[in-house]
Amino acid sequence: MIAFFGIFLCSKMISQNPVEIIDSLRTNLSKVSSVGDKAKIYADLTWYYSMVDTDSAFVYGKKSLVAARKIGDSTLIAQALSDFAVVNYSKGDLQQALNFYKQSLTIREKQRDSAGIASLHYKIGTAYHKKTQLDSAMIYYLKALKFYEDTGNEVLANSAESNIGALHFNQKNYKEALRYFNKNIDFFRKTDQGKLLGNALVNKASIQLVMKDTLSAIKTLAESIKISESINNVETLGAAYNNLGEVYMAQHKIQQAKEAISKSLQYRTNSNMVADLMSSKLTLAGIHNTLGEYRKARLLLDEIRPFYKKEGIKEKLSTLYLQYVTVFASEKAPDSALYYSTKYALLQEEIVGEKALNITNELQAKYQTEKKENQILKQRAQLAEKDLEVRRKNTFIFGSLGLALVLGLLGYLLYNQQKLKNRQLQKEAELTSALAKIETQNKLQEQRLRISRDLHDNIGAQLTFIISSIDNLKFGFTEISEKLGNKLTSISNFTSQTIYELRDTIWAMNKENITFEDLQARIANFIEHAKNASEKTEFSFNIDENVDETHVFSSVEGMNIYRIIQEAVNNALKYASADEIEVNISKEESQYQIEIIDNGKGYDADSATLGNGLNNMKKRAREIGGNIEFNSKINKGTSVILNFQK
Amino acid sequence: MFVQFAIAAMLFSAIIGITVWFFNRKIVLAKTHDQTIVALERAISTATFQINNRNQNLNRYDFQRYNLEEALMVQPEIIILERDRNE
Repeated sequence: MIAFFGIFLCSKMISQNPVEIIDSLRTNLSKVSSVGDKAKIYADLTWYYSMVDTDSAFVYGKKSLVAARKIGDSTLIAQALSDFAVVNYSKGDLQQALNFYKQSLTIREKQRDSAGIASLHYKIGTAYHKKTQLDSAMIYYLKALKFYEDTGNEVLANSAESNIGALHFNQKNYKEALRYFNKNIDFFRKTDQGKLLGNALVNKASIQLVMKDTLSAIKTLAESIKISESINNVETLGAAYNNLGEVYMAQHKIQQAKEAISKSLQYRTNSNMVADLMSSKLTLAGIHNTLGEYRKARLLLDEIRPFYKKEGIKEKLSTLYLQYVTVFASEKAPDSALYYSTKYALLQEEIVGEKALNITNELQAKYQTEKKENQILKQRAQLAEKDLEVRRKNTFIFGSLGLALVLGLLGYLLYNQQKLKNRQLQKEAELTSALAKIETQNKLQEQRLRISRDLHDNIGAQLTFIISSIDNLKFGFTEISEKLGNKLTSISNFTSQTIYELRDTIWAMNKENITFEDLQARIANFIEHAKNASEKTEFSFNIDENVDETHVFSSVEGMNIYRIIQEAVNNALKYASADEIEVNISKEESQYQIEIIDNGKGYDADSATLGNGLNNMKKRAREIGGNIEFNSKINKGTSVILNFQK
Repeated sequence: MFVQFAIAAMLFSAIIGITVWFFNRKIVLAKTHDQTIVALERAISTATFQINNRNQNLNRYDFQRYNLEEALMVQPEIIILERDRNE
């Protein structure tokens, strides 16, 4: 069976008759004179002649090459090479075609002509495909396909896929091949590509035949023939009828097969596709042998043998040799039959060997690939393990750092909070301590005051009662003696004095201290009163500059100082009848000195005994840790000098 | 990745939560402290006033008039002894 290659040689889809175009081109050729114009026309003639007359195409192809090389235009040279390669391809000279294709490819790669490169990839692929070098064919088809897909050229992409499908078919990947062909058929139907649809249908029929679905194969081929006939697609008709012949052969309808192959031969003869023509002739030779038409078979075999020998297509040669065996066997030429039988066997061995080698290589490659894939998988697993380990470690480190951060933050905030609390507590403690102190002081003072008050109220009242009682006695008993009266008066006075002293004491007990300023004011006040009471007397109150006015006395001190001054001044007023009374306060080193000087009558200090008043003053002076002097002379006045420590 | 994201989210939430809690706690502590300070200062101020008041009254004692009853002014609002709770 011959597989049909969905070959689409270039983008120049012909709608016009090539003969007419050729005539037009030849007319133009006679009109132009420049080498460049001629080169272009030669190239066109080469292309169009390749469809009708390969010999003329060959001639013009050579001329086109020469002219292009003469003018040195690399684009023209590349085109000329490509067209010449097509001519060689049509003639069946596949190796030469490949050579010229590759030369053109080199130029186009230098020019970076992507579309041109893709076109050449496609053509090289078909040439390799025809030579059954399927691996090389697939490489070039895939290159072309990529370009057409990238540039969105769906028609050419499908055409390339059609050929790839044919390759899969050759490699017996029927499922994959059918997938490609069905896709092509749908596309070509949608886009109304008659020629390509016809090709794709022929390919599909080949698979149906292999899958022994001969009825479907016949139906598919009938459709292809109908479409190809409508557009006069000679190439496809040749292939369709060839494959139809093979279907009939499979159905053992030999006569029908012969008719179909003959039709195929007619079309293929007209199409100038030598390789296809030879293929059909080989099939017909087989049919002739089957029908016992050995001579006809022999003629055909002799005709096609040089072609296959030259091209070295082993599968075809093998079939050729087998047919020869039948022919020579029929001619009763055992030597020739044996010869070709041997050749067939050797060639089969080669093919098998090649196939075996291919299979071995394939298996080896598969094994190596699998081995490498296993290694890769192992490495990936190791990498994945390492990656997992690293991730675990990272997670652990990350988590630990995070936890450390949280703990650090917690610690810091706790520390800050504690510090704040401590500061607050400290402040509160300070204030609480101050409050306790001041409250204690306050309460103590208040308690003392209340006691004092009670004391004064009780004792004062009692003392007052005593005075009042004594006064009542004095006034109540009119006949008491003078002595008793005086005594009672003395007791009353003493009690009064006691009350005063009690009050002073109570006051001093509650008032802790008295400032010098306050004392000074009280003394001044007293002196003012004394002045008012005795207008004749001149008073002076002097305080030395040295005296520290900020000095604070205890209340007892202050009270005693005041009372001493009061007593001295009263004495001066009462007993001395003084006109001038001075009160001087001064400071000497660590002592205060208070002088009360009057210019009164004075008294004999040596002989006089101290009365209560003076004794009181002495007592007060002692109480404040000081001493008191009384200096007086008759009519010379009196001075009372009080000294006490600061 | 998910685990790390979860850990990060938890840590972030913990940090935010801790910070917010401590911030709130700081506000509460400051408020309480301020109230305590105010109460203490008020008490000190009251005691100081009472002491000053007492001193002023004592200063009114005239050495000549012996007006002790004017100088010894009891401040009944001062509570000297507090009863024990067990009594």
